[in-house]
Amino acid sequence: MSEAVAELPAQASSWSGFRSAQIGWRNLWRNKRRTWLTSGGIAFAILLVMFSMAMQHGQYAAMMENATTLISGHVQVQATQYIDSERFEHTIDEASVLRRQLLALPDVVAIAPRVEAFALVSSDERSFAAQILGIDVAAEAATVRLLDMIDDGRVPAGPDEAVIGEKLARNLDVAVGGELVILGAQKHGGVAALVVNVVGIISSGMPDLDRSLLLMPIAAVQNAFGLGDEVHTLAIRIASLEDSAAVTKQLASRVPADITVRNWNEVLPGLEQAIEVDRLGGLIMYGLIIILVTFSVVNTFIMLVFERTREFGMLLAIGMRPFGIVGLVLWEAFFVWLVGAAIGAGIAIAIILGLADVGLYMGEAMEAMAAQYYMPPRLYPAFTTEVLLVSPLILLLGTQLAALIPALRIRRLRPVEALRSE
Amino acid sequence: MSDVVVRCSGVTRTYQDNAVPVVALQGVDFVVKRGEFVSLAGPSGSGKTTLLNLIGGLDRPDSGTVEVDGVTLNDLSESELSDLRLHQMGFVFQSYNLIPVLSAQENVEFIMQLQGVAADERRERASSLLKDLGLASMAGRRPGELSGGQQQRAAVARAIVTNPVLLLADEPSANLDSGTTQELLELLRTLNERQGVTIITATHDPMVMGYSKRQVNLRDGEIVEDNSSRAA
Amino acid sequence: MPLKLLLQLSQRNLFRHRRRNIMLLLAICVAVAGVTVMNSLIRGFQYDMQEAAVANLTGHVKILAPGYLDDPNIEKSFALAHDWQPDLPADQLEGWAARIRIPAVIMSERETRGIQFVGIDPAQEHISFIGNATYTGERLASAADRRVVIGKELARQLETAVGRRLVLITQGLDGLNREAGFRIAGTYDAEGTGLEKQFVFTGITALQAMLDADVVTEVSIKFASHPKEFSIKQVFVEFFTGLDVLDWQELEPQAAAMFVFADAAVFIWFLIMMGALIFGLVNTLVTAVMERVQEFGMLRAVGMRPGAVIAQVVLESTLIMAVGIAIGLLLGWGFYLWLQDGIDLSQWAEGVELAGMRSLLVPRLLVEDMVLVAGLSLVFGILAALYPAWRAVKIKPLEALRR
Repeated sequence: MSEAVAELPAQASSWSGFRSAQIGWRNLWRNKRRTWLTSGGIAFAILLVMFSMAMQHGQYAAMMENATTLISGHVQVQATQYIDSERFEHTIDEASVLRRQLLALPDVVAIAPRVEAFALVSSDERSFAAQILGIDVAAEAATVRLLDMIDDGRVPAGPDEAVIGEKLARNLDVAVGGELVILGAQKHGGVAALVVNVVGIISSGMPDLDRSLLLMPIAAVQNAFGLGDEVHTLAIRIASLEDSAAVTKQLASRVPADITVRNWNEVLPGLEQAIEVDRLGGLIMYGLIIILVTFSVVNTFIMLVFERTREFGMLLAIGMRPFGIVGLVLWEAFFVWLVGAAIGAGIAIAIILGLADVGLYMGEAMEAMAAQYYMPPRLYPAFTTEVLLVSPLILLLGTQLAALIPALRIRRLRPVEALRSE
Repeated sequence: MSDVVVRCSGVTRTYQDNAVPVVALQGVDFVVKRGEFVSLAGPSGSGKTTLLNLIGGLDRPDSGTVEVDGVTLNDLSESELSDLRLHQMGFVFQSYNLIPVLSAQENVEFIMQLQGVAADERRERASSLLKDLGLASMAGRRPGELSGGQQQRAAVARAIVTNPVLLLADEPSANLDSGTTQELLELLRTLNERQGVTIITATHDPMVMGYSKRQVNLRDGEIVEDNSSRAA
Repeated sequence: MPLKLLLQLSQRNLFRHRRRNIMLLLAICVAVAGVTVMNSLIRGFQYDMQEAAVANLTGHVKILAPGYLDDPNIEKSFALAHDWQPDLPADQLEGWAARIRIPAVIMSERETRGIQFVGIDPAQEHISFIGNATYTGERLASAADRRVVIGKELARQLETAVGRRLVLITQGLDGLNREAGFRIAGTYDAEGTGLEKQFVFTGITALQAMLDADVVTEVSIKFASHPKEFSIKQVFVEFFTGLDVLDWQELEPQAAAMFVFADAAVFIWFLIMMGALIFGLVNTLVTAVMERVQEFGMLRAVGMRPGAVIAQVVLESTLIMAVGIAIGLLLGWGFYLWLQDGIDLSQWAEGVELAGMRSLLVPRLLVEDMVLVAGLSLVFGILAALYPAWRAVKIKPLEALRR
């Protein structure tokens, strides 16, 4: 008879969990092919789920960081009324004072003050509507990457210098060095008029911006549009995006009542929703993979219990309790899982670590799509405790259940019949 | 048509047992004529089963030749050997080896099915044979529902229903009690005497030896005694 | 070797181990049904996104003046004979629309925005989103309607409403700016703010009059058949000599890339599901072979050919696969019917808009996908049987005699 039987202790009193585990482990290798196939399935599931989750986490983190550092900033401060209506007159008063106060907070890295206005912009022959964004160049550069996207010319320095979107430039038929006239409405009804020189062209790849953006020094815009020490938005960069919710709360307690502080997910609701939908799709996939692999484990244990019926009968005959035998089977299931999880997680971790520096290039076709989702063309998988624990633990539960169901038949086994069975 | 059914010439067969070569047969010359009932006897490891397997085309000699019904088995491919076994030989195994998912009747029809015998003829031949062997009432049962003796009788029916040139039986009585062994041997003797089926068995059961007409004793891979006197 | 015999053996053997084969069958069903449902969702997304891209004033094919894409301007226009009709059989054509589409400045009493000003013939616009949008107020009545319709979101930003007046400024054919007042006939709801902020519509002849130009900037054509299948673009290339004829893939490269990606996603899903399935399948098949060592040995001993042994194992795998596929497809189809009213994604509306989707995801079950899934699954069943079959063939007839 089998090796495992020889391992049985003579005295029930010396029986221990360790002994049980030892027998479970030895039984595991009685049918090597089956163990490898079952553990292989578990390894496949864990590898796939772990790697995809790491990619997802990396992708989401990159999307959030990319999106928030493009223009919006991690956190935004605006007048409550401005958020509702986007009307020019709803500004933050005494903005430089507020900005200084907020900058003093420990988590705040940089704050970019902005004035936003719609105006008519004309070249010699053509006129288009543009979104005028008044910025503090140094603060803007410390907060977001907007100015990095100027690919022709330089940042606006003097009060009569402007940078415009690439498509707007084409529509207006101007290039760097050209002259533009800006006509708009002042806060209190007067006409805002400016003559500016184009010193740079910005191309962001986002149609909305490229078609309508015009950047200028903030002081010039405030002057021309009749604003005092007022801004529409304070875009804030904080030390770590992960803390943004807490920092948002902290900031909210420091601003006047008519001012609202919004976290990135309120400023860019589409982004978080896109992530949620993607996460949902991932969950369905993980669920199906885990169910399929669990089915295969159930099958393994149905076959195993069937084949060992005679042996179990013998164990019952010599006085082992049914639940002791069930325990043996569960230990075996545990080791099947352990082997599979070690292999699957090992390979997944090796791949993730290997890609951590170089990243995974998503291909040219993906690049256009990636930009739309604020994704970089290269993705870096990310480790989190969730990535490391979720799939192995769910499968541990799955394998235990999968082994338990067929193993419970052992309770109904009659030793004599079992011994006679083939 | 030659009178010789089996001719083994200088047959040697060596096995590797845990990297230690074990000589199973050593230069055996052996001839069986049509209509003989031969039992190969000898202790375990004497080479009797190996010889039976070589004659059945289940194994190949390292040197020497095996001829069955004028065909040299050494030259045949696996598929050709399969066809030879299918059409020329019948096998009776120690543990019956009926197909568990088929009934007795279907098991008997099985080889005819492989041969492509028409359904009506198959059914007719299987039924009448089962009836002859006293299994008519068991025809619909699966092997698990038959006793050992009944299973072995069904297995014999399966082996002879195709009228093979040669019937090979390896320890046919090993799993049977003496009563059923006797029934089986009477059956084999009847087949041998009435229908002229050539039978070779490998056995160490004296009862089987007693029923055969020729007893060949092997020891350490060589034929040490060939008692064909009783054939007369 | 009679196939009937093999089939009989396979089928009986499958029934002999009912419990494990039912588990296997369940797994195959889950895999096939899962793939089918996911396929239908991916296809639903894919076609919805493609339709949205085409409806976004694009059409399957669009005719433009050279240079218009780089510098969309009334100077980059062309004259179209008033009685022009696409030279296509009616059953291949869903519709066509001639438009003027130029950038313009729109001003309400309070706000100014830059928009795309589009002159249309409302009767032709059933091929685009504007013909199928829901309205507050009235639609444009005809090509000569001198009023405008604007997006709901734009109306909110401009703080204006139906019945009020707006000023539009745009460049005429002579290069000089024209300015004209328009009354708002109605506001449209385009399910998502992207389009609503961008497009303002008026009657095409009214716009031509404003610009002093009897021209159009684009003709958009929508075919009746699926865009994968058309090769009719050539008809227009030959007819409109000197003009650009572009199909939707060229006009909406992002949507086209997504479309291709969705095709690939269908396969990736299939491979992942089959990958997860195959371990259990091979495991069960190998066990079915190994516990029948004696039987296979006997079959070989009594003269069954090696090929027939392989056929036997492959047939068992194929048989259980075929049943699993049939039930799985039925299940998937049932799920599809259950989901046919669409999945409401409106709680993530702004997120799905990023992907060019509408907020109601209607699954789409393609017969060719089902056929493909069935066919490829069978192939997988056969592949999974190869190793067990090889194990079965390796069994020596001797092994049957040894026990």
